[in-house]
Amino acid sequence: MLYKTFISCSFAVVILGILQSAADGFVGDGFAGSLLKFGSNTKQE
Amino acid sequence: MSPIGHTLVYPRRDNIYKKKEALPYDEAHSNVWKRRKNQGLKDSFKGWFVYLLIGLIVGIIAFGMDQLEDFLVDHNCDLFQYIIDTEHGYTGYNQILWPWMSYVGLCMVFGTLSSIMTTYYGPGAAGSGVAEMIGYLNGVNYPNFIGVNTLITKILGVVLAVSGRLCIGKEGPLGHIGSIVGVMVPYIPGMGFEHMRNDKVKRELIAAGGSAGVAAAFGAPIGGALFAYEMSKSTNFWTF
Repeated sequence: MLYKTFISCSFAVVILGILQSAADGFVGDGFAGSLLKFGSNTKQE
Repeated sequence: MSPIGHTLVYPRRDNIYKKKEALPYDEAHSNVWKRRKNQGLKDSFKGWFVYLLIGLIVGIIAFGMDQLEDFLVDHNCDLFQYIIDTEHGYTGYNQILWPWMSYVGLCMVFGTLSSIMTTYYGPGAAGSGVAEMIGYLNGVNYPNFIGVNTLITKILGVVLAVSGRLCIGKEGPLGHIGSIVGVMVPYIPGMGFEHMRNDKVKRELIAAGGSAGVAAAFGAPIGGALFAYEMSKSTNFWTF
């Protein structure tokens, strides 16, 4: 049970971080930035 | 309504379970439950998926609350600055009176709206929600703790109260919101979560949802999981 709860907690934190990064317009080199850039063809100069 | 004649129907058509004051967290022993329980790998996968879904919904709600709160606070401050910049004709106390009245007035409107919502629409949303959640996990059926009215009031009320600059935080209310989401996820139609609509599983989902809300508020997944462990330790008849 505790490991399932941990999965739920970590997923909530990751989703919140990705959405906040997207809302701030920040696409960096971190974890959230790499997820946002995944599959896109845009190149940053 | 007598339960006789309804035991073969799952979920039960009568609403007797809603009137009880204490929550029995016993295993269900009906034939319908026994037949449904032995689904093997399919139920195991759904058991993992429902926890991921709770985390997803709680994260989206926390993000929406954060954005709405930023919107209200920013526009209140922008209006404050706009009045300061445009009222050049006033002197003395009048230079600060109207901006102050604007700022305090909007904060009062936000606080009054959240109070009205809590009083007349969702009375179960009063308080932080953590104490009620611990009581619910230990078998006390707190009235209106779970419900759509409580969920809407909790989300909008906390955003309005925080935007009204009251001395409160959204960490405890996010735990309550996560608990309500945890109960409501098995009732999403078409997902095949019918076998989770019993008190025993819902208690685990409430604990998971509440800890997901606290984790989203603090940005601490390990702390959220330990929070669920802490909540279950008020008594010794149910632990993780």
